[in-house]
Amino acid sequence: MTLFCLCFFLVSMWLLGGGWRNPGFLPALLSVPLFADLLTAHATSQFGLMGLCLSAWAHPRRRWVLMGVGMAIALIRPPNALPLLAVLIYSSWGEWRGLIKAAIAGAGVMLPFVALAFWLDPTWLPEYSSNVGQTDYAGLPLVAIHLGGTWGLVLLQLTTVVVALYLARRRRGQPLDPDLAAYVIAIGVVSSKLAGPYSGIFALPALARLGLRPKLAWTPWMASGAAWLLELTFLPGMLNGDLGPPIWESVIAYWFVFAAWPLGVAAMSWIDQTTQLIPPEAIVRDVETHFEDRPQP
Amino acid sequence: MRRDPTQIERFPDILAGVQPAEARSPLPAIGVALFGLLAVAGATSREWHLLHRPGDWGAVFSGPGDFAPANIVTALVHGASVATAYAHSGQPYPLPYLLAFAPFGLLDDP
Repeated sequence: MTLFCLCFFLVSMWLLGGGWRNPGFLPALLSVPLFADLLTAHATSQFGLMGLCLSAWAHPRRRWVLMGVGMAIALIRPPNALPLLAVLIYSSWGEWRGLIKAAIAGAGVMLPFVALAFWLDPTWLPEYSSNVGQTDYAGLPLVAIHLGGTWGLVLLQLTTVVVALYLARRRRGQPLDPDLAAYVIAIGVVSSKLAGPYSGIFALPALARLGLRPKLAWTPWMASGAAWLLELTFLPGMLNGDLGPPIWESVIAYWFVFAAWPLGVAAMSWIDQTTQLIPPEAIVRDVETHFEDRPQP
Repeated sequence: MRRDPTQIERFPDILAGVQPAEARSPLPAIGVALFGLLAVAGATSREWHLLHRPGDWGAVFSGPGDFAPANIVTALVHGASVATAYAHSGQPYPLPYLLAFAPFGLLDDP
């Protein structure tokens, strides 16, 4: 299973993490969330991440069927998938035939299993909602449950969806920018329950994409290194007989979402550039000026 | 409304263009080595409770995982009530996905 998890992650990074040659790939590969995920073989989470990355990859390429299949896979973790689903629908506004194609493809993947689930357990939906409402996890959803029960969770989920749509607000009907997609996937960590640092894997494509920027190329290394530094602080407790890291270790996942915030800002400045109808030549010039003071390889 | 396919080229992956592969500066070996040391130290610290037991290194890779839980797989295979198994599992995943992952559960729990 560990090998399966690693394969799923490599595919995800290839699809949305800027590829394996991206300077931000290695710190993501050697990060606390992936380490925790591989040790505990959280295959469903990796599978969900791969689905999200597939959807985000397929949208700008207008591969509607793959987008639908990816989202069907990703919905294994609805709290992580819903922000991207909302942004995908918004970005596909006006392209109803494509959206219908994606919906049919997604339904084609999951319908047999949904039918089987209803046949074996007609009450699985209320049971699922009851399972989600349990409080044996950590993070913001736990706070939301304590404050408002299931409705607290719903409110938290709605907030992440609204924030994701706010970031994408000027991208209606336009191909999805991969940076925006990666950051929207990272935002999903906020509303998902944390049962360990592995939940942070959903922020890793965004973290890795920071490595694609000249001025932020070291950010993934620093963010990942800081998380390992935190893990080092658990050693005294372990030496005193603790049987594992403390439960609050899970909130490391939020650190990776925070570390990737420049992508959210970048998405907005890029939006502003495109809405002001700056000609592509001007953007190319801007890109070239980035390298004027850089040593030639 | 059919989209003009060339529009995709008008909205390129701007950040991929900002740092093309040929323009990337090589990562300093000392920095990467320090990061590696930190990662090894952090990982050792995190798994200390398993690592310091002689001959028990295999336990490091024996996490419970989150694919279809054993009781659901058992119920499925033996014709018992999947509904009861799902209710008792406390799994935060929709049942259709757990059923899709049941073959993995069979592999792990023969």
